[in-house]
Amino acid sequence: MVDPVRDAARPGERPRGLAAIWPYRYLRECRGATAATAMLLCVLQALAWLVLHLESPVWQAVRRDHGRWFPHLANKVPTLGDPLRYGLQGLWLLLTRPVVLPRFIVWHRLWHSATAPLRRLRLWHGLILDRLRRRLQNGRIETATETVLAGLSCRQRGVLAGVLGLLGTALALLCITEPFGSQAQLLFSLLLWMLAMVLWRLPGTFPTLLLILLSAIVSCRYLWWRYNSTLHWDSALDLTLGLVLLAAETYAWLVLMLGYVQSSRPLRRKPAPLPVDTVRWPTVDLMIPTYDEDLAVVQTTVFAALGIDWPVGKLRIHLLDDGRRESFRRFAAEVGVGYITRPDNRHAKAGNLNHALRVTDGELVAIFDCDHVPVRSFLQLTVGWFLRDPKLALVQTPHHFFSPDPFERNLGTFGREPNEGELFYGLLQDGNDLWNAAFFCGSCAVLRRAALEAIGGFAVETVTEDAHTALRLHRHGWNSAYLRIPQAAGLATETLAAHIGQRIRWARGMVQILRTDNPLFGKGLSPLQRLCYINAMLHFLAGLPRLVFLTAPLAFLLLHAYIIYAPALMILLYVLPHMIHASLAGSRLQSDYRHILWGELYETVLAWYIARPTTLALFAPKLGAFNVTAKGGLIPDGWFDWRTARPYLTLAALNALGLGFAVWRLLQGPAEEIGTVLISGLWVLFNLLIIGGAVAVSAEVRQVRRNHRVTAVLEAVLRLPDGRAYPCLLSDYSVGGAGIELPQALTLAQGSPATLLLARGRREFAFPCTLSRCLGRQIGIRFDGLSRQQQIDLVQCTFARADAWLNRTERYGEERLLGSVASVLRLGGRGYLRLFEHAPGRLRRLLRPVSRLLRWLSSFLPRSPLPASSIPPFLHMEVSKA
Amino acid sequence: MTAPATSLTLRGVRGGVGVSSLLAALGHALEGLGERVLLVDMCPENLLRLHFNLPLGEKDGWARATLDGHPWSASAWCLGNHMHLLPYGCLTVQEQAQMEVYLRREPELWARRQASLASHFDWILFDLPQRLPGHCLLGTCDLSILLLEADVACHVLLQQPMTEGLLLVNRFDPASTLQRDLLLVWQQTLSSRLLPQVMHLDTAMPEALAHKQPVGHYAPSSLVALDAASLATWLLTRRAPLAGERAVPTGSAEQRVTLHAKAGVEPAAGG
Repeated sequence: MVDPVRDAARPGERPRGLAAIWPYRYLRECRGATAATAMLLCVLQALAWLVLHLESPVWQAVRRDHGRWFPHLANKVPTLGDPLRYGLQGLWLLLTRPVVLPRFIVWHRLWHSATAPLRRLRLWHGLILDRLRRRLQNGRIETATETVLAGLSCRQRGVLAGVLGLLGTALALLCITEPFGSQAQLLFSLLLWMLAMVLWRLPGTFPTLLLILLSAIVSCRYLWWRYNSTLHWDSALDLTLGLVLLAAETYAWLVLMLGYVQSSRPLRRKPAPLPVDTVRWPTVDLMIPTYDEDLAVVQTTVFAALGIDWPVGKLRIHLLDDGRRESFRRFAAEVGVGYITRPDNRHAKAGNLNHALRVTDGELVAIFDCDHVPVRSFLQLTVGWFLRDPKLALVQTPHHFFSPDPFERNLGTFGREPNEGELFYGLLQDGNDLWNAAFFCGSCAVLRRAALEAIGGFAVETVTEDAHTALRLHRHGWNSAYLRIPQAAGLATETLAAHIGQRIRWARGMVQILRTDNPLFGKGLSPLQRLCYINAMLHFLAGLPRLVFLTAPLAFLLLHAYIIYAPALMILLYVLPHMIHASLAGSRLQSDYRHILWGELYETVLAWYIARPTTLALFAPKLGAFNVTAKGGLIPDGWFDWRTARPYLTLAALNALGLGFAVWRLLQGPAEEIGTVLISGLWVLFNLLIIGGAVAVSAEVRQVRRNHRVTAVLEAVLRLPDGRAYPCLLSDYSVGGAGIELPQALTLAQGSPATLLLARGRREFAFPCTLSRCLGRQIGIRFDGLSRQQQIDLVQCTFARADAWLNRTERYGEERLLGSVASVLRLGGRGYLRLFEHAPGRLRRLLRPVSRLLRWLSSFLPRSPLPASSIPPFLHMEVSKA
Repeated sequence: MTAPATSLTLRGVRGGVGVSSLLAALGHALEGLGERVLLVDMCPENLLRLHFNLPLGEKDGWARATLDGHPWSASAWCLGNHMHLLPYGCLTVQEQAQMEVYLRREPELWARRQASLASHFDWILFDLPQRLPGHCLLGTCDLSILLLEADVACHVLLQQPMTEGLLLVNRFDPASTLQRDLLLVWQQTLSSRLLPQVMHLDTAMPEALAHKQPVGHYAPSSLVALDAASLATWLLTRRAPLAGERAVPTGSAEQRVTLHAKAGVEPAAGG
């Protein structure tokens, strides 16, 4: 179908003329193929030229975009298996994305006739969808409803709402509780699924709410069925294990439902403008608490804070050093910021901040962790709301990270998949904000001093002082706000172990709050605030339920316990709709912030580690100390974190054992159990792949640069010692160096001095540098010998630009559900490969043939094509100083 | 009927700030944007022509022609499709003084000439001399730009009452703290007059004159060429409102100007 020797590997060397038909020499010399392979490929190529219109424009288009459609074959040394790989990939492309491929393949005669009915169905489906979509977009349905409603009196409207509500509730209850046989359940599920698929393609909030409603009904129905018909009361073991699983599932259901409430209507608050008269702008104390971090890390934050646009004298910056270090004191004096220490370190960060509150007197308090670099517009964007709402106590902005977290680094997904925090900062906080329940996250926030003083300062009772402080503020009737505009960026945790340590602290703290100051009880909170808080806390109890899910199928496979006492078919008929609807609604709500199955992966990594401390904290909330999250380090060599990975390996071994048992039961067990065994086997397989993802995260990838390079597209100027100046683009930067792209290639000597000119608003600054790498138009430079002032200017021209982090929110393409599932599962497979690479020598030698076989087999698997390349925007405007 | 030409004068606050080079660069940049441009050298030094590869020995120019009684417009040069150049011509010191006296006596001379040229061009750019007030009597000009460098001499001269018009900073070097500070002061105190654009210090500018080319042609990817292009774009945005303000000239030009392309002289492309 697709000609195998087509290659866009090196477009410049593509064979032309006769060589295009018989590219033997090219294959041998440029691509390194063996004689036999080259001969075979040439014969196939020639055949392809005979049979197909390879010279036609459509084929030419495929040939041109070869690297995109066949990413795994583009740069590979050709082998004998390649024709088969091309065939499989071609087939896969035809099946998965017939619309995107050039038309000729779709209209290929065979294909055409085979898929005609399907396409007719698709066309019909599309037409209906189009009509629906248009009606929705015109708002005709809404206006019609509104006119009907407008004609009613207030009372009539209330009655109508009541009647409809009652009817709806009754119907929903019926849908949830009515027991069905397998056929009825199948039909019911299919109908709801079709409805959901139509809704999924319709734009707008209303279809989203309907999708959520459908998912809620199906999930409730599933849980109802589980409670009523799937417990084996006759066996103590079955019942106990079954109840454990059911408890875990109830937890998952609860979190799902709460999540729907929380994220169905994100507020998307806009900044409030400040008064023109700067006299009315409040005074701000900007506090940077630090304990044992490097001065280099803290410096950048202070430099950026110095450049925040705010009236002179109304912004005071304080370095809160709990480490009481002389170098910090000198640094603070040198750059002219306040330096606050205290004799003891009681209550860690919260105590540090409380002490600083006592010695400062600004109306507002801005808090930045020492590794969060604020941009210049931070205060101008956040403070407006304080002037508008006198009861506002907190404005929180997202935590944005310019370095990859362990997941992103070790899985290679930085900038391609939404990271762990994005769901929270992108969606949940905005959802909380609708109910006045956005909470404090410890950094990148502004608080009102009066409010803090009213509640007695930052809460010191738990290890997560931030959430607890916010809870207290809400209890005392203060309001909070969330602005989803990244106004600061920082370093993500370096290693998986550190990441887990941080999450353990959060989990422990949240559960402590749950125990000591439960948001469900006590005064001052609205019901929905309680709900938002309880959801945030429940989220951290996910450890135990996740462990249950990861081991549940073993109960049947190993112990032969009927934990779900129902026929296999019925299980499928209930579970699948529940999962599918939850995925559809979830994807609809959060596809920009978290892709499907990633939540499972994050939970799996943390499950074991947070299960114990959260359970402990539930019973003994007073235990546990504050641990500082280490950041800004190096990982000199790639290594495998065996210690951290131990629970994953245990779980993987257990599930592998389960897989063995499944095979054994399949061969030896009674025939009527085959269905159950198959389902359990699939479950185990899924568990294995998810655990594989966790294993993959444990293989730490090398990280050699001390200063993280931030990718950017900034205008800059490179001036050479001879006085010539060239406008260029800054493509990445850090405090130590930068990468630039010149408009034309220059012959420059490595190591020669130069000057980089950068603009900040209408001002320009020059930074002496050395050319460290010269590759045509790409130049790497190193800053050396910058004066203190130049260091400050450099940070303010780069990290602290108002638009520095703005283009990062909408960068992921539309989520393809199945594609995302496949990619996560593939990550799982890769985890075992990485495990093998890091395995001790003898084991590796033993397993090498197996891994080779697996690798070879997997090379035939089709890949998803690369996205069409996009050109980065050339010019970036910066918001200028007001 | 197309809008009449916008006239722009460029003059240094003091001598030697690089007016001629910048005018040549600006003319070239405007031409690159598809504008019809006439560059007029009002300086007796007669240097502007050197940016366009005219021979050093070429004596002709509008002042020479005026003194000799020839038609002044015949001494213009056609440079490419849309750009024309009117050199000053070679005059002795006495002749220059004579010219100054003549121009003072005939203050309407260049106003008339401008009016006759207006419909043929989109832009008429004048390179004005320092100390010859007669040479600066051009009638009304749409834009007058004073060129200065970010140094103390210019800062002092700016405080004197004689300076009017928009301000453009030339040869700006961000590496110099003094220059950065002065620019910041001007941005705060003279923000209504200061152009948003500065011209950067770049060796490409003097090198361009050595190659007898405008800088945008000599080193198109240099910083100062980009600056000139930005300035030209900014001027275009200023041209639209200006054209609206002005009354449409009455009657058609009675003196038809003929601008000759002289054989044997390549425009700048000859490099």
